[in-house]
Amino acid sequence: MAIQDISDAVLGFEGDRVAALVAEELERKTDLSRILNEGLIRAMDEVGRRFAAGDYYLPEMLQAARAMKAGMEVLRPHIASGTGEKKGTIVIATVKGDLHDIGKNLVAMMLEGAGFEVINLGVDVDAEGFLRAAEGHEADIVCMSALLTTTMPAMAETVIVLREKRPRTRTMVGGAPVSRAFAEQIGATAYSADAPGAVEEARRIMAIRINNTQ
Amino acid sequence: MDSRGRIFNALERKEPDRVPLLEWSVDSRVINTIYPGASYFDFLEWIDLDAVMLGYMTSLSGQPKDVQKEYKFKDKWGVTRVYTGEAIAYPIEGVINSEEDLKSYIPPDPNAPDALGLFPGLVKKFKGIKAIIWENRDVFSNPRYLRGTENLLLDFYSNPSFAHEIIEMALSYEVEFVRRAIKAGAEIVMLGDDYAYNSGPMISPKHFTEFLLPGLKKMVSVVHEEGAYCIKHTDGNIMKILDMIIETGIDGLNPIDPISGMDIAEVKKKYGDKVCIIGNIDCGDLLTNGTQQQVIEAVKTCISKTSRGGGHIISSSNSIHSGVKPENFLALIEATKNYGKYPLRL
Repeated sequence: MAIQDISDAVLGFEGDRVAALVAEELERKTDLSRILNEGLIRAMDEVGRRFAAGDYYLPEMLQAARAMKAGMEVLRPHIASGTGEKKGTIVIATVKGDLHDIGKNLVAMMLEGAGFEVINLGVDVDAEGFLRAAEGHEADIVCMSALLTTTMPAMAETVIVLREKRPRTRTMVGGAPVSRAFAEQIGATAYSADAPGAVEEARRIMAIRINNTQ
Repeated sequence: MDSRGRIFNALERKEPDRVPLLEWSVDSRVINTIYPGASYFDFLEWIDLDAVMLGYMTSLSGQPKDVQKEYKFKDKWGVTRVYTGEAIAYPIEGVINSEEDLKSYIPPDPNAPDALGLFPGLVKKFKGIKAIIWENRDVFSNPRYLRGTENLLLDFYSNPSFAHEIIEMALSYEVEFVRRAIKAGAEIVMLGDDYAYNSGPMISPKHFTEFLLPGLKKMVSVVHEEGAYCIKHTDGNIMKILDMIIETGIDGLNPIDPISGMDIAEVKKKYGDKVCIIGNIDCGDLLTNGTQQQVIEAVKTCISKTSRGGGHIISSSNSIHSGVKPENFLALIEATKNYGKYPLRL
């Protein structure tokens, strides 16, 4: 079955084949939602499962994400806003003073793999930078990463600024020194220890309406 | 027993007079609170650590206070780095973007003058007094910086021979460079490349065997050939590749990263007869945000789990970085001296 072939090609790390199969399905007028959800996103969910099971490591995740992206590039022009296929908009970056980005980029890739629109601001982004991007892109979720203990206060500051100036913003934090306890302490909406977990949490908090009025 | 005796004893998995202490580096801001105005060497002379260490990046002159924040430069490999105010400048741009780039790439000269930076001065001052450690790169970091981590990891599948070439090219530099450091007076070499993070190794055991293990083995055997002890440092949870790492013949393993779920008691039980365990007081949260009493309790716990029979050196879980409370660093040292005497009373 062709949709299954798309999934298989993602898990086979065959980006060119994914792109070709997606194009074929579009020709055949296959339902966009099926191509996206059953072809591409389902494969990335399997990637997350294999990571959790200890079968996939960073090279496998990067390969699968790249293959999935090749399919998304073909699909993207056909996903007009308002078709209901966009899962949400996410702004993601590493916080002020911190340049580490490998984990954060992997989270961005997995979130794209789950069908979110992801705006990756890069590294060393201050609270105002997060706020401006959240406003400009009408972000549903703002994701923050830190690898240095010494930059975690910048995470707290960003959450505070967002709560004050844009209270409907959901926030998610992560990074090696960051814990669930820290996330709760600073009032973040969610926390994830790894990239597949970030996808689960993003999906979960999209269903919650946030109104941080304190 | 003197400091050196303590460290070498522990590395040989024996029981010294007390559990020794070492640290990769101590940030200048911590030093300036504890011993205002002291140079790094003055501080090392005064503080009760049993070893002194400089390494690949920390031996370079131009500590953060001398260098402007956000100052960008190219290191000896051509990798662009930027100072952020922390001790080590962060790599932001690689050099080898294609096979053509590799063909025309000229690696640095392991015999370049001043490449050991402040290390010869360290040796001169501390030879015969403290154990002298040189931290070097091994098999993974250079290829990651040269190629970009994501590109290199993609290459493992898309272009494995290209990955192998970069790895071997960089390794041949480090083999010569580490020989030079040992001839210059390093009694112990710590190989510092990270292989893992909280979730586990960055790559599968299969890829580790194929791409990294041969180079690690080579570095360990070269260090031993030149007559030095060899410690392997890596952050993260390395349980899945630890058998292989131990089998390379390392003398010490560091830091047994507690944040990633490494259990020091388990590592001691499984590998304590083969390797000296060096660690593992948490520098991320405990030494940064905790109380002195909590630090003392953590040291006592670490000693009771790890120090029986010797073969243990106490260190933080990475380094005494800029966020560590100075009083907590001093508490770590005092607690080790108080509770780490053999025979143990814990």
